[in-house]
Amino acid sequence: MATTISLAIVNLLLVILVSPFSEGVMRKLKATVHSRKGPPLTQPYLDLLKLLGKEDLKVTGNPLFSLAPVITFASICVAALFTPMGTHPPLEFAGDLIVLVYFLALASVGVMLGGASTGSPYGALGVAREMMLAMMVEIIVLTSLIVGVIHIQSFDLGRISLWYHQAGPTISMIIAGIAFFLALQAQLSKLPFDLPEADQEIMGGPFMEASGPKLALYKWSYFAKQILLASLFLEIFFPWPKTGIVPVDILINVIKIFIILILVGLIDAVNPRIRVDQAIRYFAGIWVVLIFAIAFALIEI
Amino acid sequence: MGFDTVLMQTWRIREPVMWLFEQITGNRKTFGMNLIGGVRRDLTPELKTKILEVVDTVEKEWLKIIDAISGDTPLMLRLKGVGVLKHDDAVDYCVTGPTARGSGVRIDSRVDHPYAAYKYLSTEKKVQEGCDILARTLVRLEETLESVRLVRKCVKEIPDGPIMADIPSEIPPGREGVKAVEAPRGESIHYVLTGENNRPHRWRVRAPSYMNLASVPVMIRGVQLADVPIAIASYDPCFSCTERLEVVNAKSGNIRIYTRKELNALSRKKRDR
Repeated sequence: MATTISLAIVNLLLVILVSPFSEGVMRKLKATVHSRKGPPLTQPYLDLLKLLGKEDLKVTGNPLFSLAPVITFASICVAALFTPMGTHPPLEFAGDLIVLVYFLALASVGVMLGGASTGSPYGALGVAREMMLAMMVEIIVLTSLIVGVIHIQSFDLGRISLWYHQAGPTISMIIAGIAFFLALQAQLSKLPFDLPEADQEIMGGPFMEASGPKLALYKWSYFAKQILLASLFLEIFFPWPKTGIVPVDILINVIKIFIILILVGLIDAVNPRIRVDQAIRYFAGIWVVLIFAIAFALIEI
Repeated sequence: MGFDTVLMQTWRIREPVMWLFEQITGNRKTFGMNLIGGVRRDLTPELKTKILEVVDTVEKEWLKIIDAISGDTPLMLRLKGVGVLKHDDAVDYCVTGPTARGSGVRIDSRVDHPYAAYKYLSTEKKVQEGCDILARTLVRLEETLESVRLVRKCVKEIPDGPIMADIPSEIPPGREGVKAVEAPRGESIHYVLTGENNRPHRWRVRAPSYMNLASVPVMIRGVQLADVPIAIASYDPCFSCTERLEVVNAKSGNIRIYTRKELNALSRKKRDR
């Protein structure tokens, strides 16, 4: 019980308090690629504090508009409790992979609800794009995780991670890992797949009308999602090295998360945004490759 | 389309040029160099060597940028075959500058109606036949290299002599002058009618964006919304150059054009509020 609670606290601290720092690192990285100086590493914390202290404006009487940011942020926080971060997930007795995927989907649904509730045409466009992209990307995320599920005949994320750590790399998991990484870019709304936000085209899409604390919650859940998904990717598809001592494992995982996020940031900096039809064709291609991974997993290689 | 890296790198390359402008003219952007009859300041020998140095680095860096842009697959996905302005449409809509040259229309007022020192410089027309956003981008990229060549030639071959012509008497009233000048966006036409007391009576500017803006409906016909911003940006719009205003009543469809007096009154009302 005590370990469960302390693990839960660690996971929440990571996604809530460390995540703005990781965003700061990514901004600095992007600035370096641009030959700019860039904001200080603590800037995202200051942004969040400032936004949280602002007046809570409402552009519509629709209760969904106020509710959506809370749904998004809360579902990301709950999802963090079902994600392995260095060791087995804290709430693994309560739910497995399916619950995690549901909560992640709920976060996207929160963004869509918030965007659609205002009646802003830019919001509606952003929501339409988010939906189209989510339909492809979530399938890829789920399919690549299912490759692991087929190997050990269980939906338990902690056990998949443990098994992969002991069994060593297999062809099917490597293919699935690459597919998950490619989908990660879209899940984190980074270029070339940041179509739902697309500042230069639709001015932030679903977040267009959000301001003050609402925008802070959206931003915060977006930062948290970066840590969460990077950790999920690393624990399932790249669980090495592991020492067996829990605090050390958690620390190693955090370092690995930062390396992955730097990689994501670099891809973000050197790519232009592609169109939604091109993105869907791209992900459809990845999904076809993933079917091979499933076939490999069924014959256990 | 969110490709900030190239933008930021080009700004880094541009910065030494801005410093150079400041050294030559005293200002970064609004130079105030041209006067009737000549220019205000002369180039010193030190400045000349400095210009050549800066121009060399710009050329080197610019070649890298061209390399990076033409080798980028996602960028090609977005630019190739998008925002098409066919050669005939380009002629019909009288577009100018890189927008026209990207559609294979061979016009460049520096070559067609040489002014200032252009008759000694043998400027080359940079034309692309692609008719899409990529072609317009390539025209601009190549023109920068051409400009580098021109600046180098100018600095090396500039003759000595006075920088101002002598204008002994007042300019008589009622004389007209029209001149087309090739600006970065295309042909900029200025018309002057002189008036009493050595003053201009009327001065009319037709900036290139005014012509190019008209071609946007053709460019964006049938494209996805995501392509509209880059299609508009591809002719490098200068919206303040197209300061024509009409007010359309959405219900009746009536169009009303404000006069200068009415606009002045409106802006005064806004200011006094």
